[in-house]
Amino acid sequence: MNASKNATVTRVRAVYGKRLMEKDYNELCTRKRVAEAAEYLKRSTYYGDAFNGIDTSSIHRGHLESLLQKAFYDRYEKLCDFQQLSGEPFYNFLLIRTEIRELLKAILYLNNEKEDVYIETLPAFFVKKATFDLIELAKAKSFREMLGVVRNTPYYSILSGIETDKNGIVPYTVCEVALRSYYMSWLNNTAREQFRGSGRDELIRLINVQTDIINIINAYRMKKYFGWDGERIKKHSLPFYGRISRKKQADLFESADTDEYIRTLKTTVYGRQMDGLYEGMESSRFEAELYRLQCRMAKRALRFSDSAAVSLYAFMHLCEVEVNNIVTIIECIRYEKSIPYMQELLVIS
Amino acid sequence: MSIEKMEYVSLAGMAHELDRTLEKCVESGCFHICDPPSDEREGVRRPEGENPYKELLKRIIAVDTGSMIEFSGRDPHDPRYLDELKLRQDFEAAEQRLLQDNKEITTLQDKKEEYEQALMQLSHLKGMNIDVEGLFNCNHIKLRFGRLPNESAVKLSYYSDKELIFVSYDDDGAYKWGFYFAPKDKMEEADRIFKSLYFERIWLPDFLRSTPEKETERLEKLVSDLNREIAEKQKTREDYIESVKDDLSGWFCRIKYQYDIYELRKYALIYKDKFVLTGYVPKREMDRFTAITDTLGTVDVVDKPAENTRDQKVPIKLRNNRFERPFSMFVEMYGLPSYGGFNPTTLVAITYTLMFGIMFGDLGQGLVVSIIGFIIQKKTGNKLGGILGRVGISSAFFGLMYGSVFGFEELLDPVYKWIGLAHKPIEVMKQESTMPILMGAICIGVVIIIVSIIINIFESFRHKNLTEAVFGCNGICGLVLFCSLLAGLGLMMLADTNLFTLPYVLGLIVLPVVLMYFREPLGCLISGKKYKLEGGIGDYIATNFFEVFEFLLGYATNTLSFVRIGGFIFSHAGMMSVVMLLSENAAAGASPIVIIIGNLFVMGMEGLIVGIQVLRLEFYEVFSRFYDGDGEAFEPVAISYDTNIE
Repeated sequence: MNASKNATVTRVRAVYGKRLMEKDYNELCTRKRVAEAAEYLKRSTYYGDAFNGIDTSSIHRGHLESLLQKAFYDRYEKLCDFQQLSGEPFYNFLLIRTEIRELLKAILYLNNEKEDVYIETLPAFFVKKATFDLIELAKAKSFREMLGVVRNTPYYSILSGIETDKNGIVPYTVCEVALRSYYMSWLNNTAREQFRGSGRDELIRLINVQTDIINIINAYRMKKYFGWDGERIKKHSLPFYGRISRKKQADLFESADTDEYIRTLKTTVYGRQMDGLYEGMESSRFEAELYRLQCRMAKRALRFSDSAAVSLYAFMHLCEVEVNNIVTIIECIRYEKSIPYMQELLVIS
Repeated sequence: MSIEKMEYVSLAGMAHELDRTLEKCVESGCFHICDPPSDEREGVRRPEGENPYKELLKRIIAVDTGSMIEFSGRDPHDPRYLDELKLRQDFEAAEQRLLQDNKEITTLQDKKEEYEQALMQLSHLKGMNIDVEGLFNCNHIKLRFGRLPNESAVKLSYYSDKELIFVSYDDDGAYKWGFYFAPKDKMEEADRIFKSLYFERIWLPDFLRSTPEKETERLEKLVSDLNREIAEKQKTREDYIESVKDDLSGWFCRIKYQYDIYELRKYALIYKDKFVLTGYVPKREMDRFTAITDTLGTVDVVDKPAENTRDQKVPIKLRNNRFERPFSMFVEMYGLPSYGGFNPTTLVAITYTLMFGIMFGDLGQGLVVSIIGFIIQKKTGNKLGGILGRVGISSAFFGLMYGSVFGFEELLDPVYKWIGLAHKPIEVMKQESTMPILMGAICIGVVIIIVSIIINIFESFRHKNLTEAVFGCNGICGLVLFCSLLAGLGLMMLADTNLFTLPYVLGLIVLPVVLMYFREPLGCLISGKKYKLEGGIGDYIATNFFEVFEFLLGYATNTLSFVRIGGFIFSHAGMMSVVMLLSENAAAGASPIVIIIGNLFVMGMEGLIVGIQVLRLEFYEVFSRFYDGDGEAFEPVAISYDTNIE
């Protein structure tokens, strides 16, 4: 390992030490108004800096969420800047991931003819960071215009081959698989090229886990909501095999129903680590269980790895889960959901 | 020394004398009130009704006087406040006056706040050199003032083709302050767009007319005038409070007295036109208590020894001599003994003083700690001060033994020569003293543990707990085993004599262990009770194996725990030698300062650590052997002049 990166590992662990604890989530869950939750985040957590100068008493839910997203991204940038890691290709992983997320969102809104809504959900802080013009992307009225915006990026070659139907509808799932496949293979290739030794192995293991979990969740959804067969699910899944073998993945996809799917999953390396799996479980619980498992793995990597890339990658995953938890609580507060309901939705490992 | 003997007292009388009886109980200062035994007879009831003084008391407390009044220290029997009607009238007059003053001040403050809010908004408008009134009177366009989060501002370019304009005149880092305007018929769309950008609208006050600069100047003058007016009003109010503060305090004390007396009524039982009150009075105070209650016409006082009461938990008042009294703090901290139990304060006082002195032996520092302690006790009445005073003397005594005065190890040598000693009684710093000091520390521990076990045996016999007294790890078996092991090991190490012969091992070590293993069935056997095995034989064997193993381990660890006494002797001497070394290396003038600071540091830090360590030994190694600490404190009824009444 490059000894000079030790400082990043230590810093990542130090920042992780400030994370929200269960008592913070419980406190947030007891808040009756979004403004009260924002005030708690400002006064009592490490999100305080993100709310500098912000008047939480009149904050809008959307504004609060955009501040949280910005805080998440700022944290990543600060950690990268700490030892000038941004110049190394792998450390652009969050930039690429966020760009892909925005592209997919824009396609979704375009298909629904709600381009004007996309601009509202667009994270303003990311406008100056993205490698293409997000405002122009929001203005695009067709897939062709959209491709024009990303012409000088790697996404162009991925998306340009995709045909719209006669109504101009873009095949979203095809785009999603294509873009995510690009991201996962970019991650894998960059990790293999840039790193050596145990750090590289740990990093690839984390990436593989992420690939598997995306595939497991997507396949479960396709099985549950559309009843698709193995062949069709495979077509719409990421073409990678992480820690699940090709044979095991095929068995999973070819399950007759979700109960058989869960039974098969229990025999995999992931299923063996999950106590909360049971047949007939709700989709949200199923996904939460997998996310909890992924968090546990990320935590383990963060604790034991001495690689800056592994630490940062694992940490950003945990941060993302944390932001999602806060957003979940805020939405629940807005819709006046009960505290036990909120707590059930949180991914706390 | 012991636990105060209590008398269980019942007071019965006519209901109209209940309040007076309660007043006398409070006056006696020695009556611990308790719930009377339940009485299922028809017609027996508790006094009911809302406390009639509650509302007035709340109003007195709620009077907003700032921090100018302390509601305590007044005689509730002051003749000026005995007439309740006059008290109410006087208070209401004062209350009205203060409320009026408050209202006027609040009105002025609200107005000032309104102007200050407007000033704050104007501060963001200063870049705009336009008449505010003119802007609002436009015929074809509408505008909204407010602030836009800075992140949202980048999205404005998306709306460049829309008929709307945002004008920013200030940026505070988080928001862009400004206004947007649009043709009247496009305003709805503009509002929707800016709402999606989290624009927060601000309503400018309608009293703003001119340009922001001119309005700022005008409002600042108004605020300054208001500040002056508020200060004058507050001065008048403070003068008035000063003139009534004695009365307010007197009213509070009188009404709080009556409120608390009324609250005590809930402890009484009423049957027809009679009442019954019960409680505990120390036996020694019984005559004084009777003399006070004798003045009550219809009330009869009946008393009987507290041990004759079955259902009630008798409150505990420790009876200690002058030397021990402050150490009761540690006993109370752990928990009071039960009635008829053993008061460990004497044991704590002696062992704590002794161990502290040994561990923190320094003549000079001990005397300083002692003087500081006695001053604290005298000034504040804090028991910790008393403890410091006593343990300081012990430290000074052992300091004399070690020949240490503020870390100077040779200062007392002439004194020893003068009294005919060749050297100090205990040479801490010599290498050959190490083992004797550590062995001495263990011996102290052994003695303390044996004394604790003997107390437990005695107490268990007194409470007829034969299992614990005979077969417990702190009973006769435990004592025999502990002493046999110690004697065997001690003689083997010191006198090279092996006591561990077969009869010795079988009779004094194995037998006690076997008896402890079967303590429950054997205890039932000698108590004449029937033993019932719970959880099966396997469970019994496993549980008792580990328990007995833990007992054996406990004897070793608890004994070795006392090594710290010796350890701290060296630690203290070591720390002081570091201080001396530092002072020698310091510049000539700085040397005394280093010695003073070093001594203060050692006294503060080591004194605290030693204090905590000795307390730990007391609680873990001594108390745990014979003491439960489940007693309830004796608390005579009294009036609390606390303003928190809920």
